[in-house]
Amino acid sequence: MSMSAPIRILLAKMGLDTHTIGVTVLAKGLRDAGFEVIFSGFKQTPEVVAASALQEDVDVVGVSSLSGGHMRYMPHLLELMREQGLDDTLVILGGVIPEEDIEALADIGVDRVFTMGASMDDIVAYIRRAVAEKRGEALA
Amino acid sequence: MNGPELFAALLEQKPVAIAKAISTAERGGPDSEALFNQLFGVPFHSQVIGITGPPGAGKSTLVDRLLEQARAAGRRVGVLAVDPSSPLTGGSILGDRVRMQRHALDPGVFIRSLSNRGHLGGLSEVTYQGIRVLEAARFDLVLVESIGIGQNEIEITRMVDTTLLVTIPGMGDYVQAMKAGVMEFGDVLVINKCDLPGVGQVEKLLQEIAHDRAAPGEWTPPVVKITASNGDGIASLVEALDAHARVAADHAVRRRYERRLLDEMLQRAILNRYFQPLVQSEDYQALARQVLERQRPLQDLWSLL
Repeated sequence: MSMSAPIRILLAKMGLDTHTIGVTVLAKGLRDAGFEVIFSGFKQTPEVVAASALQEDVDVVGVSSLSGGHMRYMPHLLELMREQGLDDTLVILGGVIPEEDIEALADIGVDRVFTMGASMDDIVAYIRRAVAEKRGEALA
Repeated sequence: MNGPELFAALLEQKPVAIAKAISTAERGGPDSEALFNQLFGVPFHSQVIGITGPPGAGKSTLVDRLLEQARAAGRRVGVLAVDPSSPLTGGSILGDRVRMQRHALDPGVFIRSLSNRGHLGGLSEVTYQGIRVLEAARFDLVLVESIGIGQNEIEITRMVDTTLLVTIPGMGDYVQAMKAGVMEFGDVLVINKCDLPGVGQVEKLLQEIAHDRAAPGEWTPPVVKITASNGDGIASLVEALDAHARVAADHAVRRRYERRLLDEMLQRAILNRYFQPLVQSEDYQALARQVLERQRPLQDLWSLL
């Protein structure tokens, strides 16, 4: 474990998406990588996710989406986060995301999209690198 | 935002300041010490309740109910949900807030998950600093939820005004095992999930514990039966908590904890200022070598003082 503070990540699912296995597996993998994983619960609104991210002072918000709807609630979430001054919080999205949405998601401020088949190692490595950059730390 | 600016924003009850102040406490180091210096000047005014009990006893659901009751009474509530971290990786899954999310958008509620990061001073000081942050932000009620396992548990009971202990039917073994432990500190003993069979057995055990602790002029812990999932018994629980708050209005438990904290802070400062330079000094290194080689007697060690 490095000397720096553990990475805090809020995992969220919004809308009526009931596919919870992916986010559960991810939570375990991130915990095993030494992260502090905070569950915001399933079927949440962007308002609740943004408020939770603020109160928990997380480095990362990770959204899992497997049944569409991300083009509707992601812009709303990012807008709310900006309103609350959470511009520095990393936002990642994972799940079933059509190729053609990825550019639009990047434009609204989603830092990274992981599609089906992404490996846990890649996700962990990306988060470590991106958070270290935001915190201005050298990667251990 | 840090230092005086952070503290000023905290006194103005700004959610972002509350969040950043707790993070500062979690990180430890000079910033945390500077913040604690400022927090120390804040007078006691919050009712601080620690909620503990074994995993699966329904602590988070109970906290959700207490939130509901307090908000209906117009009281602002801060929640610290403490979960253990893996001793192997340091990682943790903090899932308590899921059961309280219906309060997430309520401006009178602030919920924060804390993990046991195992740094200097341990979870205890970080949790206490978290309580003081919420007190500085003038929450009327502060709820600290923690898992009823291990030594940390006794620590939690020492830094709150009221300890609420939750068990459920069928947990007789847990109650027995904890009889000489966290049970001795429970101010209100709660049986949750009273819609399950086996209430009588655990109730009898808790009554025995309450009876053993009964003494003239002392608080006798009441045994309260609830079902947090449907709200049964919550009103009686709130009455019991308020009754204890009246006898604990002098915050004696927290004052005792702070006294111990001062001793510990002084001890750490002495170690840093006097012990560390001494053990690193050449005089000591040479003397220690000679003592270990039996060239000089052990009592020569005291010549260094």
